[in-house]
Amino acid sequence: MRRNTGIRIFSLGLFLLFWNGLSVLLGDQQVLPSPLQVFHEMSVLWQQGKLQENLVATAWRVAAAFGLAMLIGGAFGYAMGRSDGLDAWLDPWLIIFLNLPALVLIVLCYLWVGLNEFAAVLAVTLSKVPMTTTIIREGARNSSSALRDLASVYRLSLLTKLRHIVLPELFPHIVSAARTGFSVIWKIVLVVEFLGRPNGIGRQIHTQFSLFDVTGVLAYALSFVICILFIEFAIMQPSEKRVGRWRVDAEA
Amino acid sequence: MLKLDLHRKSFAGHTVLEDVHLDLKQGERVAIFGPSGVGKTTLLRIIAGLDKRFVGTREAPDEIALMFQNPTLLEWRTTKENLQIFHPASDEQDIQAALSQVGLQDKADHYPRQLSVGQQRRLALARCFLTPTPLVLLDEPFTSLDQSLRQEMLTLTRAFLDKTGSALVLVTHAQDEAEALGAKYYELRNAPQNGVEFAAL
Ligand SMILES: Nc1ncnc2c1ncn2[C@@H]1O[C@H](COP(=O)(O)OP(=O)(O)O)[C@@H](O)[C@H]1O
Ligand SMILES: [Mg+2]
Repeated sequence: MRRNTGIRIFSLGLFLLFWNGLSVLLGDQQVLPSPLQVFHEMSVLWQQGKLQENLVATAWRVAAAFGLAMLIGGAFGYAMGRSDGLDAWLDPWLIIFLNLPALVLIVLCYLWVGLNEFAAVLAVTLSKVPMTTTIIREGARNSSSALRDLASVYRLSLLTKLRHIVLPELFPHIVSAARTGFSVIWKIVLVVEFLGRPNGIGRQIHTQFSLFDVTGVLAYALSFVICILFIEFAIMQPSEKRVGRWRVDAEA
Repeated sequence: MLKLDLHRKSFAGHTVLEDVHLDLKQGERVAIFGPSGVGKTTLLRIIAGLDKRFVGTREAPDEIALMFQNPTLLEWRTTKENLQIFHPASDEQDIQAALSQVGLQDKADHYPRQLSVGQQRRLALARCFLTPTPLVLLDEPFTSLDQSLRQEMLTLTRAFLDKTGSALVLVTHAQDEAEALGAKYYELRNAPQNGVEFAAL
């Protein structure tokens, strides 16, 4: 599936070399530490238990906001895609929320709800729901009316319809909502933590920032990026492939 | 069994069907013919209970089988699952029997995209007849098929109908299809002077 794996790995090596060269050239560890220094910092933080603790706190927020945004956005998107009346009513709201900067939502949530966990997850969820809604709505609009007719005449149960018709039909849109959602959410979560949480990667970056500790910033950031890449390659892509088996073109 | 007294069916003020009356006995077969856009599909959807926005009354059995011009399969489910999902009460044996009847016994675990056009149509036919229903509705199921496949589908449909004893409403362009299935032949003319009567003789 993934072509040119060798080239990709080699290119990654080149990036580390480039980084290392730049750090040597600048000659100041305060400005740009070498990759080895950052990896060392990561292992120190790991041994202190700080890395795991903050990664887990952030991951939990990402997971909660992601799940909620997919559920709420999915429900709204499906309903709006299926009903023109509802779409007319809700579309202006959708456009407003779609264009509301995440930062504004975060600040407002903290001001109105308070500096707590609920406000943090709510802010991230709200900033993602409109995008999910838009993507799922597009899928629902393109759904097959013939299949719906068939399901209705054969009187399929709601659960059967959901499992075998609605969800598989929406699947490409769900995947694309999940993809964009995931990549947006973890960035917003860092901002939320930066502004008002006592733990998490965003909080640590805030702390390292006030200490002018570039190595610390990079150590936390890099470990988080590694986690994200792991989820991408170990969970997202394989599950996509598994559910997409039926797309095989006539080969029998 | 099926009794439809349709006084008027309009879309956004534009009348499509007017005074169509249907009274079908058990096992009776009728074919409806008419130019494209005259309202055949609209009529079939009303009979199927899919469209309830019309002036008139409808009396129909709960269990109805339906088939369109396109096979309309669940592309993300295997051949076997495509039958099971629509016929949850049927067991493994019923499914196998139905697949054999349409020559798909070796394709149970294939996805629709791995089937030929003819095989997809035959699968749709098996889905239509797997559980015997008092009423079968077919909307131009044999249109745009090549001659040999059309004959094959007609023969299979006839065999299924003879076996299940279902009543049939077939929408078609071709008179020979009605004859091949032993259906009485009616024409749907342009509204508002539709005035079609299908009364059981
Ligand atoms: N959902 C709909 N909304 C508005 N007009 C429709 C709709 N469905 C069908 N029509 C109109 O009703 C007429 C009959 O359509 P149809 O029943 O599909 O014809 P046929 O199946 O005989 O070709 C056509 O003029 C079509 O444009
Ligand atoms: Mg039609």
